[in-house]
Amino acid sequence: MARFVARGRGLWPESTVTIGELLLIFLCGTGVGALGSLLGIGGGLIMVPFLHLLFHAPFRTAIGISLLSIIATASGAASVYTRHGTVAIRLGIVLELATVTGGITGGVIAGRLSEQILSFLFALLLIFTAGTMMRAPQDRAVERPNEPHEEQADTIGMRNLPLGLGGSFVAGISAGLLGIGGGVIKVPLMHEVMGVPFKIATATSTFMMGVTATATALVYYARGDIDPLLAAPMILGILLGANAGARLARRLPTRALKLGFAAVLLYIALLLLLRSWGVSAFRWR
Amino acid sequence: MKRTSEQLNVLLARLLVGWIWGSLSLLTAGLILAVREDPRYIRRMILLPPATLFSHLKDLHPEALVNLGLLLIVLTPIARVVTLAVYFLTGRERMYGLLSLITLFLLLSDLFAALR
Repeated sequence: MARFVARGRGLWPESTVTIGELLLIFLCGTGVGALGSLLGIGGGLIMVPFLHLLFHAPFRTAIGISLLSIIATASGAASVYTRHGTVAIRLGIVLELATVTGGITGGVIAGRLSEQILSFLFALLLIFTAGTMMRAPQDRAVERPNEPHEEQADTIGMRNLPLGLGGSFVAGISAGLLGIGGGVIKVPLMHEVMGVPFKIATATSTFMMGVTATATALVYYARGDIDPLLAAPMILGILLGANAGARLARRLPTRALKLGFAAVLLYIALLLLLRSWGVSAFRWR
Repeated sequence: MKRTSEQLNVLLARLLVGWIWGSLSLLTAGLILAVREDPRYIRRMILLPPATLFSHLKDLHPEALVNLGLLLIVLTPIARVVTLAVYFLTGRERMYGLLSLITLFLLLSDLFAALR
């Protein structure tokens, strides 16, 4: 682990990496992808603290790599959703204008914030996500009797559009600041505020995610916050793991996993909070 | 009058899968070539500017392949926005076409700033 020390823009001081280290990154990506898929949460929530705490990657590099992975996984998932006709494409086009603007804004703001502040904000996000995961599943996706069916995704109306646009802008900022997909904001926003059926909201959020992550990733790309040799095996691993996780999810008790993982998220949040206050309680070296 | 969106759904699904597979193939090829160059130590890579990227691509340089793979990942959603803009503008759904064009403008400005 001593080699994975942040120095300047790169992740390791030496000019070379061994094949063992490359495989380790790939395997970690596979684990992150599988876990994200099993628990139904975005990979960015796991990957960013993982790269930062375990590999000592600078926070912005971890976010940049997370955004690239989100583009790949969201594009793959969106292709399935569009084939099944569950994406409200027109609604997505309207809202993604706000998420893209928010994403670029968030990316620019992230470049001006210190690692401590970014760690602190990410810790808050993890606490919020852990709380969401601990809630009973029936509290979350309430289907209403008069909701349109999945096959009517194309004819979804745009109720409460100003609120939807405002919320999407906030989702974009959170994606740009913290390297997440923003589904944690967009799905409840579309479902609860705009009256979009839960499945269509999930599919449309994923459909928009790739474009938002691209707008944001390019800001990180321009700053040189992306390390190709860390990003490539990570992305390959995540896609493989996400596929495997989706298959495993049918066989494993995901409710128990979610509760267990919520506790892990709280622990990671604590580590990030300590780090943001200058206490390094987690040392691998 | 909205056109049937079934064709659009299939077109988008194929486009997204095709671009992602293309980029993953490039990333895999780049990493394999990097390992083949020297199985013990792989040279660290940096983000290449477009001119260097394309000149290195002629020699199938591992770093250029990985860079192109990452660039293709970023370009996948942009290709999706272009497809939708064309679809809506030719289908006379001007409002959605215009919104897609604005998103495309934002993304392309971002892209040029990143590659400059």
